[in-house]
Amino acid sequence: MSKTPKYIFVTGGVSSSLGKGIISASLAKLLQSKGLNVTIQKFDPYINIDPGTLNPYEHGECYVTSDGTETDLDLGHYERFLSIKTTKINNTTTGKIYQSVINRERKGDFLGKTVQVIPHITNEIKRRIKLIESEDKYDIIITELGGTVGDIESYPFIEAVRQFKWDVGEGNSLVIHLTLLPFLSAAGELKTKPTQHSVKKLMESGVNADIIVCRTEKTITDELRSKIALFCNVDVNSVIESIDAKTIYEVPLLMQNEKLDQVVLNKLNISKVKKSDLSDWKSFVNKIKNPKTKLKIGLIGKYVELQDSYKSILESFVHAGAENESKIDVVPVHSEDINEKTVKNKLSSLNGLLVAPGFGERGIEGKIQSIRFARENNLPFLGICLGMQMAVIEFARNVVNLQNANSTEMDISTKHPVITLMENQIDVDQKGGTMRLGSWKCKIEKNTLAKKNI
Amino acid sequence: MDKLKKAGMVFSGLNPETGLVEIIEIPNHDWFVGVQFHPEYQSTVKNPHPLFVSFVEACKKTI
Repeated sequence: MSKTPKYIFVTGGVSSSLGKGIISASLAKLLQSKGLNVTIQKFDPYINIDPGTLNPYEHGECYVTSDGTETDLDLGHYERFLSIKTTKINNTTTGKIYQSVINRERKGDFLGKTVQVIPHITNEIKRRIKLIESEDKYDIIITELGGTVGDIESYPFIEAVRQFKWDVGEGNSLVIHLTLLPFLSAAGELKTKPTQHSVKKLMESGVNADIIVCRTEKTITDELRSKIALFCNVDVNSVIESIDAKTIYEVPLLMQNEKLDQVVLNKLNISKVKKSDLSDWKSFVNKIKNPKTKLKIGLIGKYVELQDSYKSILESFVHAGAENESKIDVVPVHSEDINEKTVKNKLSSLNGLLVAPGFGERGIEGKIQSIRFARENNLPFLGICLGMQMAVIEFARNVVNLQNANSTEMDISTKHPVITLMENQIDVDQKGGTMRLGSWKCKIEKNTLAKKNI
Repeated sequence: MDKLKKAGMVFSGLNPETGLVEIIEIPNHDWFVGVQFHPEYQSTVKNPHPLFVSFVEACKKTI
């Protein structure tokens, strides 16, 4: 095994939402299955310090790591694929980088010097790329760069990668560029031009892609592979097809068929690895693809239009569904669409109900109505965070008869404050990083569902 | 809390340091659980979260 870790960078071109996170996590899974100690980190080019204050419509779910950090949803994929725990160190943003450089400038660390993108910002990016080394003895560290090559915000990151590759020397790092091969039905073929341009864009910044992963809806012919190889400066084995998959969990298996792991190991001069065993993973994917029953579970929330905003809940259902050999059709129900009249119609065909986490007053009466329906009709119910609080309010109002019972978050003057804002939350006026998040101790009562299942 | 307990709600998980309620249940119902923590951030392919597994199992019984 190598003494110092090897570095893999994953960049994206042509379009966003190509699935860099899934490709990174899949590669990490394959390398992990060969006995290597692998971790992944994500560098996001936006200027927010963390995604905690981003609207889910903008950026999907905010994934919370066990140390309570609000991070990018890709960290969820890393944890779910690899069964590793990530922390705040695994997610950096332009905001965090500038914040630390500016703080150092105020402290006088650069006294007398002009503080510039190069070298100060790029040095801070490079420092943060290596920061994770101190966490554990990693063989391979994968760094996913958010955004698309060519974006203004991405430049300092690409420049830092160029310098980093130079610093660590040949065979110690490589760049994987993920692109899209659009299929034009009028021409009846896959087009490589956007890929060529995007690789060229990367080269203008002095970075050569070592491996090109092509997202595509059709199989790539050998002829097309040769063409991409020729125009993009890579050998033909380094052109990897990433065809649309039925489930994201199939991607590691597809990448294995394409020998992505082998190409990576060759380029990084790593030869001593064990034979990979993915039999558990394969059986999991088989269960997803061949369910014995189908279930409909309602997901009540206020951001249900956008799948990504409840990503972790949906994925948890995929895992639990496979375990139960069931396909779970998660039916999104907007909490504001539910009232006394619509509730029966909306929920009666469901096999279970989940009320999602959330904030604020919007839609809470709809949530309470649906919880009442679940309680009175013996429909399995799981409430998370605000979902639990609403279940307590519903119970207080309709079973204990405390009319107008409420949470002080929603109604500060309620007569029956069954849920109260924590004291240290009452005066919160700054946004971001103020919630009680992360792992906490919990004492569990005997003979309860909690005892059996946690 | 006493009134709610008497009416059949069980506070099955408490934070020992702060006394905050982390888990509630209604035993008089086939499967009714509320959690203040986030099980969805703990579920992995290798270890699906037991609460989700048990919830889906309960949903299966409604067929």
